[in-house]
Parts: sequence; C-alpha cells; structure tokens
Amino acid sequence: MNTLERRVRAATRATAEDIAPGSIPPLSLPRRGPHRAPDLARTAQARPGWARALVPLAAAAAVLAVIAGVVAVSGGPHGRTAGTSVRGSMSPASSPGFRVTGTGPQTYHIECATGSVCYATVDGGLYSGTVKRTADGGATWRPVAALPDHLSFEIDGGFPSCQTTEVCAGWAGPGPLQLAVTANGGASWQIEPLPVPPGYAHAAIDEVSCATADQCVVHLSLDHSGTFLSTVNGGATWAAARAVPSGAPNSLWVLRCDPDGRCIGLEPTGTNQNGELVAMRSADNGRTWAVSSPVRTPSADLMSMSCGDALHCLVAGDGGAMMTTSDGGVTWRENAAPRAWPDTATAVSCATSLDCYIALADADATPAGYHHPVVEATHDGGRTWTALSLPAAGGSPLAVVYPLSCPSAAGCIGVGATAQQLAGSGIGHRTYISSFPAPQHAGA
Amino acid sequence: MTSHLRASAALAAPRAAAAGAGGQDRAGADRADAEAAVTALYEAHALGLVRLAYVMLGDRAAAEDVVQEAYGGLYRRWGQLSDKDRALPYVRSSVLNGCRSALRRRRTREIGGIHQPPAASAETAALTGEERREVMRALRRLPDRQREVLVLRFYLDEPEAEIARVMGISQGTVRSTAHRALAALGRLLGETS
Repeated sequence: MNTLERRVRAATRATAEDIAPGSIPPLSLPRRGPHRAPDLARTAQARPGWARALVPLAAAAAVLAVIAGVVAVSGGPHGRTAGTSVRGSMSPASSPGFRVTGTGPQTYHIECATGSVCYATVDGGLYSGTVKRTADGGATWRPVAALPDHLSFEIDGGFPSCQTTEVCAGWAGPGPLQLAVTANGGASWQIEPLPVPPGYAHAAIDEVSCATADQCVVHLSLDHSGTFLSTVNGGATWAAARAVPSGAPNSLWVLRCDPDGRCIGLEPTGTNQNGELVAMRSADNGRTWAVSSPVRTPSADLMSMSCGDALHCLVAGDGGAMMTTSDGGVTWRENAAPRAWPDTATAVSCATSLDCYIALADADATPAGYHHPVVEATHDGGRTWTALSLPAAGGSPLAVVYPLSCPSAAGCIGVGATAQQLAGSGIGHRTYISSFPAPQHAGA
Repeated sequence: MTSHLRASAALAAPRAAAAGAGGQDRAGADRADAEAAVTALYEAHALGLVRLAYVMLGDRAAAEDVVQEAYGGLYRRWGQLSDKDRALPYVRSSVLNGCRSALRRRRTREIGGIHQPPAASAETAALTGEERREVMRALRRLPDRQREVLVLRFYLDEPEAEIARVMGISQGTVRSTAHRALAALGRLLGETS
C-alpha cells in the first residue's frame, strides 16, 4: 500500500470515528409488515388477464391501495384523458416480444434514434466508458471514433446524447467546458469549446440535448446552481439562458428538447424519506426557462424517467410508483402500477406522447439483486399496458432489463442480464435484446 | 441520463401483501420474527453501516436516514429472504444503493461538513485534523463511483471480487476505477504518485 492509499485509509477511518458508538438512533421499522412468501405479485401475475379483483388492503397500506388499483394516465396531445384502465394481457404467448440480438459488455446507457440505429455507452475498462453504435438493430456494435486530443467522454456528468441517427453530443474532458459533437454518426468528432457563463468555470456539463444538428441545449451544473447554454446554428454561436428562475435545481436527470424549440428538464429532489420532483421547461430552445414547484412523489426513489416529447413524461420508481405529465411538468398525475408488476422500475423509455415502455424487476437479496423482469408497453398514454415476452440468454432467464431505449411505438432495443451475468466477477457480459421485427435488422 | 440502475439489491417499497383471514396468526408471528431478527441485526451492525454511509455522504443525518431505510427495506422483505445469512450483505448493498441515490439526488460536490473526530484510533491518531479534511475534501470531489471504489477498498478493506459484486461491475473495472480514482486523488492532493 503506497502513501496515498494509506492516507485514504486513515482519513476515511478517522472520519468514520466521528460517529461514536452508542450515538446511533434506535431502529424505526415501517408500520407495514414484511412480505410473506410466496410473492403475491408473482402469483397474481401468473393468472390469465389482469381483471382480477383487487384485494382489500390493510389500513396501514391505504396509500398503496390507491396506487395499486388502476392505471389512470393523462392522455396524449389530443386531449384524451384516460379513465379506469383496461389492463393489458399478461400472456407472453399472445404478446409481441423481445429476442436476443447479441451480447456485449456491461452497458450503462443506450439511446436509439430508430429501430436500427442506436448508441450505447459501455464499460470500456475505464470509468469514462466507450460509445458504440449499431446500424443493424443491435446485431453488431462498433466503437465510434475516438475523440481527438486524447479527450474522452466525462460520463459521470451525463451520457452522450444521440437523439438522431447521426448527431451526438457529450461532455469531453479533461479541460475547459467543451462538447464533443458528431454529425456523421460518430465517424468523426468535433470539439466545441463552450462560452463559460460568469461563475461557471468549474461547472460540469450535466445534460445535453440536441434536437437537430443545429439545435442543442446544454445544462451546466455547479454545487448549488445551474444554467443553460443553447445554440440554434450548429454551434456557430452559443447563448446563455436568460435569468434562470429561483427554485431551479442545480442538476438535471433528464433534458429533452424538441425541434419545435420546446424543452423539459427533470430532477428528483427531496430526501430519502420524502421524494420530490422539479420540472423546468422552455419554449424557445432553452433561452428562457420556467420552473415548477416541487411536487411530492409517491416514492423517494423515482429513478427512471423518460419524456416522449417536451410535454409528455413518465417517471417511475420503486413500489409501483409512477407519475406522468402532459403539460411539460406543470402538473403531474400520480398513477398506479398494476399490482402484479414487479416492484422496481429499472428503465423507462417513451417514444412519443402515447407510446412508452417500462422495464421492471423484483429486487431481491441474491448476488444478482434482481429477478423476474418484465417489460410492459403502452400505446395509449398509459391507459392499457401489454407485457412483452423476454427471451432467455444462453438458456438462463434474464434477471433484469436495463437500460432500454424505445425510439418508436414499434419497439425497443435494450440490454438484459441474467443472474449469472449480474453476479459474475469477470468482464461483465450483457445480452442485447430487441422487440423490433426481424426484417428491420436484416435490412439495416 | 434517462435512468439509473441500482446494480445490486435495490430496495423497493413492496406493495402491501394482504394476508388472508386464516393467515392472520401466521402473519403476526412472521412480523414478530422479522422485527426481532432485523432489530438484532441493526443493533449489531448499524454503527458500522452508519459510518460507511457517513464516509460516503459526509452528512450524518443523511447517513442515518440511509441506514434506517435499508433496514426498513430488509424488514419488509424479510419473508422473501430464502437465506437469512445473506441479510447483512443485503442490507449493506442497500446502504450503498441508498448512498448512490442520495448522492445522485444531491449531485453534491460539497466539500464541507467534516467534523473533528471525538476520538481517534491508534491507526488514525497520527493523522491531523487538517490532513484528514484535505483528503476527505479531495475524496468527495471524485465522481461517485470512484469514491465508492476507494471507500470499499481502503475503508472496508474489501477484496476486488467483493467490490465488483457489490457494485455490479467487473473486477477489471474495479481495478481501473481505483487506479483512475487514485490518480485523480493524487492530482487533487498535489501528489505525483
């Protein structure tokens, strides 16, 4: 152990001793009791159809009872408003499904512009990761060109954004604030230095959204503040956002801008106990922004978010928690995941205002951490959901699906992992899956 | 980023499982067993886990919250644990997941909030308060995953295989992440090695 390692060990251990023995507060267990085996969710899911009657829930679970019953999702741009859900069939035999398209390394992020062209940020053996591209629906993946000047993507700030087949942009480091931008599908990259707003010399590039080759919006994040830069001429000039309103979060999980100039940004805030969600929206390519008041979320862990456009978003998390907006985050509707669904949303991807897919799995205490994954699809803004069957990988069932990208109503490309793949200690292998029809792969 | 995977055992608030009328007695017994077991685990390991979360988060209240949440999740899932011996690894994974969630929510790079220790062990006695703060400040400026690897490696003395399992990454990634983290830390601390 060298000197630096010894310093880390000593400092962390000395810091830990700030917490004195006997100073820990007593355990406060939730009022809700433990699950009883067998898992009722799985039992229910095996039943044909989802028209079963709801089991009356204990009074202590009254809040959960509300979300356990129906899916009632705000509709799409035509003013359709959903009522009580007609639950989709759970029969894999009658559902379209995913099939294995190949294998690859551990994959952090995937973004598909079409059913054929996707970009994935994969474990490249270094923390900065490697960006790969497929043009055949996931059958083959090739690394994009290396960034010039020994730069690499700073994926800790956010993954490169690739909303179209040819245009991607991401934070390139180390060095000053700069974007790496490609307009030819990653065949080459151009480094675009960004003008630094006053006080943002040490900011991180938090999120990027390029709706077209000309229109990009960048969110810059500091410890306690954030701001935006935007271009509408392919980076020839950049403009800083006019005054960012108070209450704006310093970072964003999701930034989505559309060719019509609308943008939405989402950030989960709050605490471990009480989750909140803040939305920001712009109608002028990111020059001016409005911020919503924080809304309480049904779960503190709303970890998966996706916006089909700058007005319609779905966020989901643990315990069947789902929320949707159809007005750019001004208002949110708390929805109910069907009770039979696994308890943890691992990925959400919305292709349009009406078409969303959600991947879920049951979290468990095995080394893999997950089992029993499902992917559900809605094509009516969440009124009804249909399960898509998932393939086995090498004879073993998948344990989780993550990440997932659904570029159109027609389907998704995602990454699955079996329990062995998740728990394995070798180079992490993952299984790429697609729900697009085979001809799209063959023709790509 | 569109979503985030807790690669290991993510905690999830389960939907209520309503026991049938005939199952009330058993449900009560299960609940009592779970309470006793989880409370015993808490009494035995909470200090270490709060310390771990505190090192990760630099915020005592948040660390205590994360640990409480983890044990709450363990309690809710007690009936689903086929191997009760895995309860401690499970809750530790949950604490780390909770730390990741908290860090992700805060996306913090705050560097303050480190307090003087009330007492120091023999191992850490030689470390001055200022040096400790300097190292912790630098540690907290690292990307979350780099910090987590270093904390697991040098605070908990976990082997690479266990770090890989807990974090859901390969051993090669553990090594490369640790290497990169130490290099960054060295730069931040003005060291050349």
